[in-house]
Amino acid sequence: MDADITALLARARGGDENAYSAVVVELYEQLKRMARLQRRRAGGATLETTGLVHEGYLRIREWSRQVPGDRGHFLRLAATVMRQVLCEHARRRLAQKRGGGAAPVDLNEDMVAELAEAEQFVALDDALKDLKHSHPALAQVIECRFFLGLSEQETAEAMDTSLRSVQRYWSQARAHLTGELS
Amino acid sequence: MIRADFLVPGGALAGALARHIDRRRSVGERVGSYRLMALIGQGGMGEVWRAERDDGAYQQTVAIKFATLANARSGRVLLEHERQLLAGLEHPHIARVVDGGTSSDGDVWFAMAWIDGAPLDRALTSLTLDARLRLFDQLCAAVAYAHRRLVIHRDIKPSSVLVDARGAHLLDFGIASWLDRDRDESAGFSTPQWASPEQRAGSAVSTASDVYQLGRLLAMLLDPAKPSASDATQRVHSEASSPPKLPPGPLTSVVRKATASAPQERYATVDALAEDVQRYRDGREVQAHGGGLVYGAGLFVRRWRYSLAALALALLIAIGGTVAAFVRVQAARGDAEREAARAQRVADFLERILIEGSPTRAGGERPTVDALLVQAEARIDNDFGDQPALRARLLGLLARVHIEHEAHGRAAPLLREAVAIDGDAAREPEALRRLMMYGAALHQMGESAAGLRALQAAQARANDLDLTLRNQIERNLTQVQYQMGDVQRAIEGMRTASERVERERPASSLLVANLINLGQFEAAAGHDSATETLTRAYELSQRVNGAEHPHTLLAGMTNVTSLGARGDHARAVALGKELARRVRLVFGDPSAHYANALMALGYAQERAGLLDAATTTYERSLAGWHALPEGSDLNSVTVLQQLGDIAMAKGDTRRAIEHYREMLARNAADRHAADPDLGQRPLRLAKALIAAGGCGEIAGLLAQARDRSARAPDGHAVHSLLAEVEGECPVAD
Repeated sequence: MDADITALLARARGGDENAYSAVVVELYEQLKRMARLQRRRAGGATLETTGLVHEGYLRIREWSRQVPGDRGHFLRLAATVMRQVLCEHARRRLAQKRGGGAAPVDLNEDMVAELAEAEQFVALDDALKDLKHSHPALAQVIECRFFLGLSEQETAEAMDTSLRSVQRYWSQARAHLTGELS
Repeated sequence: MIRADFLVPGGALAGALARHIDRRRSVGERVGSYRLMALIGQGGMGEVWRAERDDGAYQQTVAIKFATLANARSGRVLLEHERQLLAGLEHPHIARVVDGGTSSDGDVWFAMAWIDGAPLDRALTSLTLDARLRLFDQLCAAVAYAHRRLVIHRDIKPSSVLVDARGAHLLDFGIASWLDRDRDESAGFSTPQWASPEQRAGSAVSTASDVYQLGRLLAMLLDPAKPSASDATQRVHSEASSPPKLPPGPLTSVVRKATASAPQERYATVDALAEDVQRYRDGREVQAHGGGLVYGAGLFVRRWRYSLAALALALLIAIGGTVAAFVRVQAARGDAEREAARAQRVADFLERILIEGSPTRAGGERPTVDALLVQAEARIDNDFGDQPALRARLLGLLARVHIEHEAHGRAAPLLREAVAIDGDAAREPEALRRLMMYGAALHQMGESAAGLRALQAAQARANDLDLTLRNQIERNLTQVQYQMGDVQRAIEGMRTASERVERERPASSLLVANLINLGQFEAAAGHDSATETLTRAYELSQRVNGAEHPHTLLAGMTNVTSLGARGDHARAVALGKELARRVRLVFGDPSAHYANALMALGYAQERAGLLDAATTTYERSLAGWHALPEGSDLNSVTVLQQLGDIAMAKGDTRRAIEHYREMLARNAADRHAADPDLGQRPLRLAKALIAAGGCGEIAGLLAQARDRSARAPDGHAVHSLLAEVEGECPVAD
């Protein structure tokens, strides 16, 4: 699978749409595996998020090492995929809730939290679409840091810019998106 | 607007959405014979969907629960017999699992009857205390019913209970159990804040765990404001889910006993818990009940002659306490499944006639079943005085409700009246059933002679009855004969009954139960045929009842012995291990059943020459006996004796002396042993002391042995043992 993804990435860089989809699927599968692994470990009750993010890092770093010289590109791609996967999921989730119609029997805290969160994801996704036109770097830093959980240093590497720029972009993007002055 | 606390580094992967990213199902998708209609819940285990039957067979709405592969052990599929076991749970207060399977993408799913109700914690606010306790009673009945079928819930909590107009319905029965079966970490699928201490510790879980969770539920019912599900979630880490504090009162002590940390300190059965709550509702004093697990074992074991073969059978009989109770329950209640539905119908019927006929109907509050019974009893003579047949029938129905609640004393006078109406010549099945119940109730009340007469009268007229009822009458009759000491007649009666069942229904659980009763009687009489009978019972029960049914386990223990006796030691040990494992699964550890199972295994190992393994097994058994309350320790003396014997065989006289001394100390007043001391125990210590190099201390032991051996019949092994020791140590004379 890892060998496959290297080849897929090469083709995706070459503009092959199918290869890009395959990478998305692979990343999606990876994210699911991480989530399941995490839930299993948590016994279904609580979630230690650091573990989840960490698993994601390790795996994606491993892949990124297999495409030497283009690590930044891979990380940016992964961040975009994560955003697509999560926001798409959030939209489906909200649609399901509206379309379902049944009075929930067991609407537990998990579900309530998830629906509230889904609304946030959708709002963010919409805002990022606009931002990508006006300030592409700000949108990219949100993808890397918020969606993929990269550190400031890694984000700098992914975006081929300085650490200070990343810090500045992050504050500006947050202020813009949340409506708060930084 | 996007919240600032949402947009933080790594935030996208940290929330609930990312956790459930692997949702794979959507509305309209087909699973088994069902079509998914709406996602209605999501928990740690997986999703819950409302679904409709979609194969055109009939209209049916179900709730489908999925367990994702990550939760279910990989490759674990729902076996047909497990599906049947769950589907077989038919009780008015259990949301039955109607179907189940593995979806195309590998997730395990269960379809449950759809209950259009509210979760327990939300339903409570508008209910009076008595109404809440009525719901609790229904839940206890449901759990007790499942326990009798060897299904443990393991995850009883407010969100597992839905309340509708018909009362409370327990969801997810057996599912947690099933998911957990192969896991190392037993607590896996229990909701942490409702888990019992043994679940949290990751130890083996038994019915006691359900008693604990019912106790927690009772605490919530008493004070619904306190431990709501969301509070509990927040508290889970800080408070390690201890039961909430309640003001002192009779029900608080019930909660305390049900939620004791040590499983053996809790109510021994769910029935005992329910009964104590019922006492409160009846205005009686709440009382603690002793361990019901080994009911009647003492009675059986006193009659045992001493021999090694009998030792293994003694184990069996100690376990047989449960089966005796089981058989008794079945005999008195008929098939419990139909009975539960019937009791419900009886209650409905009574309620209908009483409420419709009651001038005080406008009062509002629904009367309790107990109040209905009292009213009904008072009204029967007036309302049905001119219709004796209907009166007898109603009296019988009322008595059945009492018997259902083990209130034999209240059932007996009603049945006496009904039996008098039926007359001495009645031969209809219902009349004979009433006569049988009358006899059984009298026996239960201690009036065994009168009970025996009633049962004999029923049997004399039973020729034309269907097989099951006739057999029920005969099983009750022989059980009473046996308990009154007329073992020979009990054997003959049970043999005849079994032969009849074998002719008409050779592969039936009816025959298994008969053979076990017969084997017990034969063993008590010292007949060699007991082993053969019980071996047959084992093989048949495995086929008919399944591997974990108490009848199978019970009969299997004898098979260990008979394999050993035939010299097939490898199989005896293998089977002994397997049975011990299953007994532990079903009854828990510590339990008298498990300690007995270890004894049987140790015995097989000992005979196979595996002395070290046998020692370890016996030591585990002994630890089990020590952990049980005084009254439940049936066999620690026997274990100590075996440990001493092995130490002697290995030449470790010092250890043998230790074991034998402890054995004699515990055996004071003939306690803690399945068989009486006919002098063999002091003689063992004497032999060990001689072997250790001295005759000094044994004069007293010899005198004790001589005294006791006078009780043993001629030709008993103790006489030659005595002569042997006297020969070795003449100085003691």
